Amino acid sequence: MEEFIRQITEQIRCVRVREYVAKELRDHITDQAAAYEEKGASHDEAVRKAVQEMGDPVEVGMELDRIHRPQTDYVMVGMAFLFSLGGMFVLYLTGGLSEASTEFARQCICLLLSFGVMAGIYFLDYTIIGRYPFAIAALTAVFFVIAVGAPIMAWHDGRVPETHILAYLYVPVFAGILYRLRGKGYGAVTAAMAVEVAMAVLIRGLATMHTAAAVYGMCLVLLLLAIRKGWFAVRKGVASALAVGVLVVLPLGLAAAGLFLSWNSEDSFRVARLRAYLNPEQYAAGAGYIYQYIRQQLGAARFIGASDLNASMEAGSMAGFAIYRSEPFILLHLVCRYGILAGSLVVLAFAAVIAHAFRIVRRQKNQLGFMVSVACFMVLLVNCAEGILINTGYYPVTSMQFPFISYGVGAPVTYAVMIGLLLSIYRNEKTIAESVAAHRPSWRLSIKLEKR
Amino acid sequence: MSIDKSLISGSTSMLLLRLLEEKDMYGYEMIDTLEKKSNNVFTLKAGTLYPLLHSLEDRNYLTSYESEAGGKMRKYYSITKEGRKYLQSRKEEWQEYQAAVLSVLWVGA
Repeated sequence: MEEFIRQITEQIRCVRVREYVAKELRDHITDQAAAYEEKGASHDEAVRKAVQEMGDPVEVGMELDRIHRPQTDYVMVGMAFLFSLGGMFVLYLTGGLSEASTEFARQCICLLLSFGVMAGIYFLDYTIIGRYPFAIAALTAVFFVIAVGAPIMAWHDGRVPETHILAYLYVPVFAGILYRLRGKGYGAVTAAMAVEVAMAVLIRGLATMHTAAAVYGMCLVLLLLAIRKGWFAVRKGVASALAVGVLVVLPLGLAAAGLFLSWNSEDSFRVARLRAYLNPEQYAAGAGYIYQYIRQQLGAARFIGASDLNASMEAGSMAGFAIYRSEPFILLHLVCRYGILAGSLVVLAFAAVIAHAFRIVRRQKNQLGFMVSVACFMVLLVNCAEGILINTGYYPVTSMQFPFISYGVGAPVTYAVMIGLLLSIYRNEKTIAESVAAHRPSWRLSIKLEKR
Repeated sequence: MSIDKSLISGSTSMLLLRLLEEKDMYGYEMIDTLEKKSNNVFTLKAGTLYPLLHSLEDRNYLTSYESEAGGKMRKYYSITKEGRKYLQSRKEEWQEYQAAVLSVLWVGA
């Protein structure tokens, strides 16, 4: 019997599926043999007959191999390469890289590095996130602290290095932690909440409040999804209310109280920024000028070609030159210099990647694959949406980096990890079997009406 | 009684889905039940069954989970909403086909 099963599984190229198929077939042969034995056959005879019933092992194995083949998402691979190169072109066009050739070379190295990271993650089995999430979380923390902490220590001027975008790596890691806690009760939900808060505190400590809040929000969505999907042995309503109550209502209440108390004091820069966002006209001379500036620029933009304001901008004679050159406004810069069409193309590229990521999410039957793909999808969606809103003046200005059109090493690597994970999930869609179903009711009630 | 194979293979997935419509089953159980219900006409080989089940699962018509039965962990299959829809359309197709065959075979008889 074992020889027969080995012959079948040898046909299956994906090693991971083999054991899983072997177990099912072994169970079947045992059942079938037991049935023959009951009918009076000897044990050996029964097993032999049961094996014979299976048919040709090579044929069966090839058929199973066809079903459980790893697959490549060529569309996503194509988009990643095309848009990364296109992104380099945009960086070049907007002038950030053209002045110093060393900078251009450096950015090329960052891009190559990001391709390496993407390929590495793609070929690595993503389920390792579900198996060793705590070890990976700890490693990520060390990596994050070094990547962000080292420049902070060196600069000593309160600036936050661009590498802080690496904080988003915690979102898929959190999906793995949730997966690991699956099947347990309220203790697990509490533990997940504690991990989420700890992550946010770490990120807040080293990076910006905004990044911490974004990661925190995404992790909360994942937690609520896990509860809804029945990952925990809890009452869904109670657990969701607990999570939202402790993680959202409580801190929001505290923040609202703090804001109320400090609204009229000028010393909090966050309050000042918020007030400027809400009433830009009132603060046109101060912190609100940025929103005025964005509106002015967009208003003057042409469909194709440079706007009238562009020339004076380039000469640096107008206020707001600093913004023009700052990273989050790369899209605005592109629109002013080359027209609305160029900006729209970039936005379309983002939309295509996000829509494709969403399709990958929708396809996932595997629980871990689903959760990790949701995590990656959210990181892409939130950053792109935020960036576009910032560039159009609809969102409080904050530091952010777009996929594909960012300087430095942090953003390319972070987004490469997300896209690499999505590719890996797609690749293994048909090769990873869920070994144990999560929390499934053990009985089923059915009522049948029959006509007499 | 032996029946032309191509007639059976095309409709096997329909029969399996029909079985699973009533309750979740594991592989051997399906073969056994099918044999009994069809008075031994349909003796499905395991070598045909499992690739078929896996491809139905791949197409989202079935889901599987492990559960204990008779002291053994077994892989159970369960029909999905999409699977039910697919079964319904296959049934209608089959009915049409069968009616057409009958009317041709016994025309005027």
